[in-house]
Amino acid sequence: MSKSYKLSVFVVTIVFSLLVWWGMGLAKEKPFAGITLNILMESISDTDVVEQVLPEFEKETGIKVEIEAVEYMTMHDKLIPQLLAPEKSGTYDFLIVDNYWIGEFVAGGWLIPLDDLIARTPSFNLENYIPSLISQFAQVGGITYMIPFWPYPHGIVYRTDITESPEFQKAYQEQFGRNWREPQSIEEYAEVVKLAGRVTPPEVYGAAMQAARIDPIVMEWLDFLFSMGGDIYDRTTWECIIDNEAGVKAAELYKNLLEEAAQPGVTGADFNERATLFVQGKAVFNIVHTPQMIEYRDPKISRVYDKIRLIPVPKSGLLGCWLWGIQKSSPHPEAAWEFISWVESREIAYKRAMIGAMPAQGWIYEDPAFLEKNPWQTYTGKMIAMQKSVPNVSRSTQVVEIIGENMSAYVIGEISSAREALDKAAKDLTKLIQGDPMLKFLKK
Amino acid sequence: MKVHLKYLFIIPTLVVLVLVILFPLLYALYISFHEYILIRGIGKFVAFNNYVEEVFFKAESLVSLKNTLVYTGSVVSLELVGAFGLALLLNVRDLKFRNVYLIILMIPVMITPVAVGLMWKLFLNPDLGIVNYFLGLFGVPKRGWFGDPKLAMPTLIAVDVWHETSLILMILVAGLANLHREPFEAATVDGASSLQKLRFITLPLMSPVILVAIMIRMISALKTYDLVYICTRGGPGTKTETLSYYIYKAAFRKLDMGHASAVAYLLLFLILILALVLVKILGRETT
Repeated sequence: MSKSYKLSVFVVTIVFSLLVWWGMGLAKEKPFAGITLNILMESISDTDVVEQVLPEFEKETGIKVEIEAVEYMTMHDKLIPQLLAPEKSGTYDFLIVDNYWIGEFVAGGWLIPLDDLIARTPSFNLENYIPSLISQFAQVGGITYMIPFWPYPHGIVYRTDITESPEFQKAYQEQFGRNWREPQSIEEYAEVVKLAGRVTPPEVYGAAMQAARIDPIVMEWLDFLFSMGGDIYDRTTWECIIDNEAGVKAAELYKNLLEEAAQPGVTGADFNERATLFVQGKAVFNIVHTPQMIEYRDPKISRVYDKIRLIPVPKSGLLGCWLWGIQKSSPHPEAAWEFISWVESREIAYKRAMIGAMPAQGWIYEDPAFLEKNPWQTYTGKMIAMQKSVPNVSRSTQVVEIIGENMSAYVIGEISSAREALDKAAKDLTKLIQGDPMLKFLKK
Repeated sequence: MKVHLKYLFIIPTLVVLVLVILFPLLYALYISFHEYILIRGIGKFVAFNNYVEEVFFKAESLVSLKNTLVYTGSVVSLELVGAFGLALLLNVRDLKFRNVYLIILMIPVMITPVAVGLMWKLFLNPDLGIVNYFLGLFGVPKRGWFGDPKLAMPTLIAVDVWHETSLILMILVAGLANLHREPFEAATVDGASSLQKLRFITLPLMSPVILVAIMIRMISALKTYDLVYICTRGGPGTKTETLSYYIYKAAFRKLDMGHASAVAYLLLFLILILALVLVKILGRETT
């Protein structure tokens, strides 16, 4: 062999060894590089915010995340076949879970417990979160199945330009015998909404409401029920109490408001139609999932962005929360955890909050910069503390279905009285919860 | 050897048919005789309990059946009358631009039902939709359309008629084009009017084609799900809940696969019975 040949072989060997060594280093730093993670998410502002931080995640880890964003009403149906798939054979690598699916998903044995993954990730700390979100939603029987993503307490949003107008103030004074004040009870809210509908032009309604069948009507009506002191079940005895006096009054009040103050076709209006109506300036009041305030305050979408105010639903209301989870059918559970722990790290969670997301981590609500940018968030902590969620029984979806069917039938007159509708619902709800495996975990 | 080769070529198709059609059918039948809540797995054998409960003890399933029959009867009748009228117009001798008209009339059926539903939901939005806007210009008050309990079903029927009339039109246009001219010429010579020709020649000769069109459309209308899902979710109340939507609700919302499978089979029997009746009538007409 010639000298030059030997030299060439030597150089190639050195270069090759360096490349291998560099590659091994990369592999150690980015153990999941090249993987594409798929997730189904709701088509809403918090998902848009996550999409904005994805390039940073891909750069750091080499993992690509593909988000399939769909309307809320289709999510549960799309997730069920995925959850039933054998281990590691699903299409999605992780998922977001609406809080009232928790009981179903846990009882079905479809989710991977996350405690081991959390223990292996020193940078991740559950204590960053609002404690009630962990105890109510993320943990079942002491096991962590999910990580809070964004809570959605409900609030009342109203048009300050209308409530501060001389016509409204005068009419309010005449009806209530006092100066305008924000409603202190849901009954007072109903009266103020009806007044607003009378004072404004015909094309502006007292309230934008969402009484479409099942999820929309239930999510809105439960604010009335909880605010009036009612509940679906007694959370101690688990007796169904939806048809008690508070329940009947809440149903009657709700129906009355639909008839006298809401937009035409309200019994077909869902979340998006309600929100669109409000941001187009066609209603004075509405009950909102607080994360929708991001759209409401966006000048590109909302005609009322600079003339609205958010207040809590009086006394109580419905609290919901979306959470991250990893299902057993996930093809890449470890890579999925890599994403979840990254997107929920203090740095990225704060970044998302400052872009406009709804934080689940309590410390962010005390940050001056965050509150200065989002003054409406000053009430969020209070709302989360005083509100209730749909109980996390194993068939919570059916709880919502039963209430929705009967309330929808009542508001359109298929069932003539609130008492009859709620008695019918109570009968089915009582049967549904018998022997529910989740009851032993639910805190008294 | 040749015979064995023939069967060898059929085997892949048979395997696909068994996997995609026969297996799901038999598994659904098996489930329908059991208690089966998705999160709990297949439970005990309950024989015909699921069927009996749905037919005799659940008012909601009977409401869905009634809605399905009303919906099917309405859309098939309206689409047949509309399509036949259009087909007769398109069949006029020496009609200029016939093919252009036909293509334009075919456009609705080429649009997927989901897109049709979304489109009409926007058009019919009570406050932001174009239909109420134009009606408002003539002083007509806003209608709730899909959100109005009295209008929801008629509105759904109207959207379906807009979408599916073209399908029946295609069948009828083909049928009319294949009719022999001699009976019509003879009738003209005998002094028959257009109405008489329609009643005594066109309709009898077209009856097999019309029956086929009715059967095709009836079967798909009985199974309507997508338009209901997109436009109304079966509401307000249960005003537009069809059997297919009821089955979906039982399976994916209530996670009750036992009852869902039972109702699915009841729907299958209903379709089979109605289809057999039509086939018998068709056989008589052909003879």
